[in-house]
Amino acid sequence: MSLLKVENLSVVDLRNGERILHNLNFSLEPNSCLAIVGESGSGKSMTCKAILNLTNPWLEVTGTVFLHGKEIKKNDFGVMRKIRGKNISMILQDAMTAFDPLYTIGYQIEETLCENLKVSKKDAKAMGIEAMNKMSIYDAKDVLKKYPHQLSGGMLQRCMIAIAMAMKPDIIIADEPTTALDSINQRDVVEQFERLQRITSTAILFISHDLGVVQRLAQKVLVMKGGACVEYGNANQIFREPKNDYTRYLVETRIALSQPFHKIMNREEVEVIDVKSAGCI
Amino acid sequence: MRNYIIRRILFIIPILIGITFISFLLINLNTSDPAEVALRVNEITPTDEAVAAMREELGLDKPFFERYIIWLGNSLRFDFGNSYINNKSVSDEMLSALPATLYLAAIALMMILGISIVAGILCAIFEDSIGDKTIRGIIFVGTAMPNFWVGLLLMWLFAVKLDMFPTSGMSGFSSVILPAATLSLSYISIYTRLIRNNMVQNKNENYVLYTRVRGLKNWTVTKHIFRNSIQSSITALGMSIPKLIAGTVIVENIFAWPGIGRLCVSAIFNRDYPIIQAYIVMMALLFVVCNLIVDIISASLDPRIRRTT
Amino acid sequence: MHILKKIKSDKLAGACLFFLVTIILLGVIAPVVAPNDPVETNIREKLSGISLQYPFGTDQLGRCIFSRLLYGIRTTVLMSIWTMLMTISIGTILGFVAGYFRGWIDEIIMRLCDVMLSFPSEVMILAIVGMLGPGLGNIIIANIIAKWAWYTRMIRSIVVQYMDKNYICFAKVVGSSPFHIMKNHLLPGALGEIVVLASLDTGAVILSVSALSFLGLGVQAPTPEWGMMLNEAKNIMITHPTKMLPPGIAILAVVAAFNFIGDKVRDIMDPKHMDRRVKNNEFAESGESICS
Repeated sequence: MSLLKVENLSVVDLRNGERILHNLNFSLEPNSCLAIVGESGSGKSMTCKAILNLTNPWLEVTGTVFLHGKEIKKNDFGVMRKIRGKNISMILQDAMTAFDPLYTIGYQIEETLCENLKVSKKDAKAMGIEAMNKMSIYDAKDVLKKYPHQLSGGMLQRCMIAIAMAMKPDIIIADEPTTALDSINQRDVVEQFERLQRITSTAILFISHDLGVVQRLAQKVLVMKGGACVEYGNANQIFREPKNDYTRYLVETRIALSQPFHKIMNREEVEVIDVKSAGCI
Repeated sequence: MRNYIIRRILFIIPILIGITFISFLLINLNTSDPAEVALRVNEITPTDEAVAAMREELGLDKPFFERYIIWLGNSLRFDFGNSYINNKSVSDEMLSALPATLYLAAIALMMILGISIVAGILCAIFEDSIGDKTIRGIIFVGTAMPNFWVGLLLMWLFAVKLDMFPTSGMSGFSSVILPAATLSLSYISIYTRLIRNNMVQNKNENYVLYTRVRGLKNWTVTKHIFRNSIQSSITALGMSIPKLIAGTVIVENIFAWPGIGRLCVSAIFNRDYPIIQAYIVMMALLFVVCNLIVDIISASLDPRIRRTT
Repeated sequence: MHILKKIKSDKLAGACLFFLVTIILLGVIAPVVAPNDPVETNIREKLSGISLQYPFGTDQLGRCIFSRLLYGIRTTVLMSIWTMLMTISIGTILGFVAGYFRGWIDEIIMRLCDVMLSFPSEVMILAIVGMLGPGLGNIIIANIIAKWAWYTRMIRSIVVQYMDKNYICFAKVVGSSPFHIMKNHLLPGALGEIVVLASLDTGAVILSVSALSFLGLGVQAPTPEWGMMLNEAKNIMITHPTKMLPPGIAILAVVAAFNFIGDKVRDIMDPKHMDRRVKNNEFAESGESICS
C-alpha cells in the first residue's frame, strides 16, 4: 500500500476557467523520495499546495488524495489541519519570508509543536533543540532566541527542516528548498536531506528544477510541463533514457550548464558526472 | 534605541520653536490691533491715549523679537498671560477646560478601538462575504458624512425623540455617549478600513501560508495576521489621539461640551488672542509628544527595529 | 486621458462623475435654475413644507431651501474646488522647483514641509482662522496653508521620478532652459498624476469648509452655504427636524461622490500587486539605519 496516492488531481482557476493542473496521478512509497521536476510555472508548487488544500479560494481542486489508503476529505478543515501538522510536513521555498517577522524562531517552533503534538512548552523547546542539533545547528539555544531577520536564509531553511522533522511526519514535502539559497547553503541543505533519509523513515516529496539535486536524492521522478505530467518513473531510468523529448531536453541542458561550472569548481565531481552523462547520451 | 529616542526628542525642539514662531507672527500680522480689541471688549473707547496705555500694559510697545522671546519664555513656564475678555489667567482657563476634552476624547478612543478592531478583523476573516460588503458600505458612507450632521441627527434621535441621553452639557456618564459617538464615527470608518486592508494584505504573505502549513489553528493564524497588521496600523492609531483632541472642536460646540475646543472657538469670535495662542501651543505640544510616544512604541514592538543586544 | 476613460468604464464611478459634473453645472447656472432668490426673506411663508413654489420648503426666515442649496453649490463645492486648485498650483510650483533643481533649494523647501507636516491640518486650519478671524476668504487661506506642504512633497516625488527619464536628460544635454523643460516635458507627463492627487482630497476640503461654516467661522450670513444652513437648521431641530435633511444629504452625496472617484482613481493608478518584498527590504534597511 502506498503512503500517499494522488488520483486525477486537477486545478481550475474559477476566475478565468483556466486549467492549471491536468489529471495528475502518482504515488509515494514509504521511506522513499519522489521528485517532481519541471520549469518554473509548470505547476510543481501548485501540486503540493493542492494536496494540502492550501490553494487560494478562487482555485477549484478536484481529484482524490489517499493517505495510508484513506481518502483525505478536503473540505473538513479540522482533518486537514491535523494532517498538515502530524502526517505531512511541508518546507517552503522562500525561508526568508516564511517565518513571522515579529516572533522569535523559538516561539514559532514551540507554537507549532504545542498545537500539533499537544506537548508542554518545555518539552516543545527540548524537541526543537534536538531536531535542530540533528540539522547540525549546534548553537540551537541561541538560534531559538533570534528573530527571523537576524538569521541567514540557509539557517532559516534548516530551521524549517528541523520543525518538519520534529513533528515526525510520515511525509515531508519540500517545495524547492534550495532555490533561494546561495550555492554553499544549497549544498548544505541537500546534505541535510540526505541525512534525513538515512536517519528517519520519512518519505520525501521533493520539488525542484535542479536535476543535480534530484539525482542525489530521488528514487522516482515525475516530470511536469504546463501543469501536466510528461514522464513518471524510476529516477535512474529517466536520467539514463528519457522517453519524452521534454525530459531529454531538461537532462541535456542540465549537463550542458553544469559541466563548465563544475569543471572550474571541482575536478573530481566533473568526472563523476561525466561518467553518468556519457551513459545518458 | 536610546540614541533614536534622544534624536527624536531633539528634533521636537526646532518644530516647537517653528510652530510658536509662526503662531506669534500671524497674530502680529493681523490687521486688528490687540490693544484695541482688549479695550473694546472692556467697553472702553479706544482713544489714542488709552490704546497707548493698553499697548504698554500688554507689552506691545517692545520690538517684535523681544516680545517673542518674552512670550516664549513665559509659555515655557506655562504662563500665557491673561485673557483679554475676562482678565483671567489663560493657563487656568485652559487647565479647567482640558479634563472635559480629555474625558470626551478618551471615551471616543475606546469606542474607536473596540469597534474598529472587531469590525476590521471580522471583515478580513470573512473577506468579500455579504457582511464584509455591508460593513464596507457603511464605512464608505461614514467617511463621507459630515460629523456635525451626524451629531445633529444623533442628538435629534436619541436625545429629542427617544429622550435616552441629555441633549447637551456635561452631566454624568450618559451625557458623554452622544458626543463621543459623534466624534468617533469617522475615525471608526478610517480604522476599520485600515485594519481590514492591512489584514487582507497580510493574508497573502508567505509567513501566513507557512503558519497554515504548520497545521496551526485558525485562531492562531489570525493572531499572527493581526499582530502584523497592527504593527503597520499602530502609527496611524496612535496619531489619532491628538487628532481626536483637535477634532473635539466641532463636537464640543454642537453638544455644548465645556472643553478647550469650545473655549477656542469662542476665543476666535472674541479675538481673544492669548487663548488662541495657548490652544495652538498646547495642541502642537500634544501632537509632537504623541508622535514621539507612538514612534517609540511601534519601534519597540518591532524586532526589526528594536535593538536586541 | 486614459484615467478618465477607465473611470467612465466603471458604471458606479461613471455615475459619480456624471453627478458631480451636473452639480457643478447647476452651481454655475444657479441664477437661471433657482426658483427663488436665496436671500429673500418672507416671514409669512416661514418653515413651510414642500410646494411648487418652494420645492424643498422654506427655512426659519421663509427663504427657499432649494434655491439656497443651489446657490450653496457655489460657496461650498466651487469654493472647495477652487481652494484645491490653488493648493495644487502652489504644490506644483514648489514641487517642480524642488524636484528639478534639487540641492539647497530642495533642502529648504523639504525641511519647511517637514515642519508643516508635523502639525495636524485640522488644528492648523483652526489656528489660522483663529488668527485671521472668521470669513470665507480666511477659511480658504487656512486650507491652502495647511495643505500645500503635503502636495509639494507628493509632486516633488513625481517630478524626481520623471527626472531620470531619458528624454528629460536629453533635453538637459541639448541645453533647453529649465522653464522650457518643465513646461514642455515635465508638466504634460506629471499632470495626470497631479489631477489624481487633487481628486483624492476634494471631499475632505468640502467637509472642512462646511464644518467651519457650521461653527460660524466661515461664510457670513446671509450667503447660502450648506454647513451654515445646517447650523440654522440646528436651532429649529426640535420643532422642524426635517430641515436638517436637505443640506446634510447634499454634503454627504457630493463628498461621497468625490471620495468614490478618488478611491477608483487610486485603484487604477496604484497596481495592487505591488512587490511587497521590496517594501519589506526597505523597511528592514531603514530599521537598521535607525539602530546604528
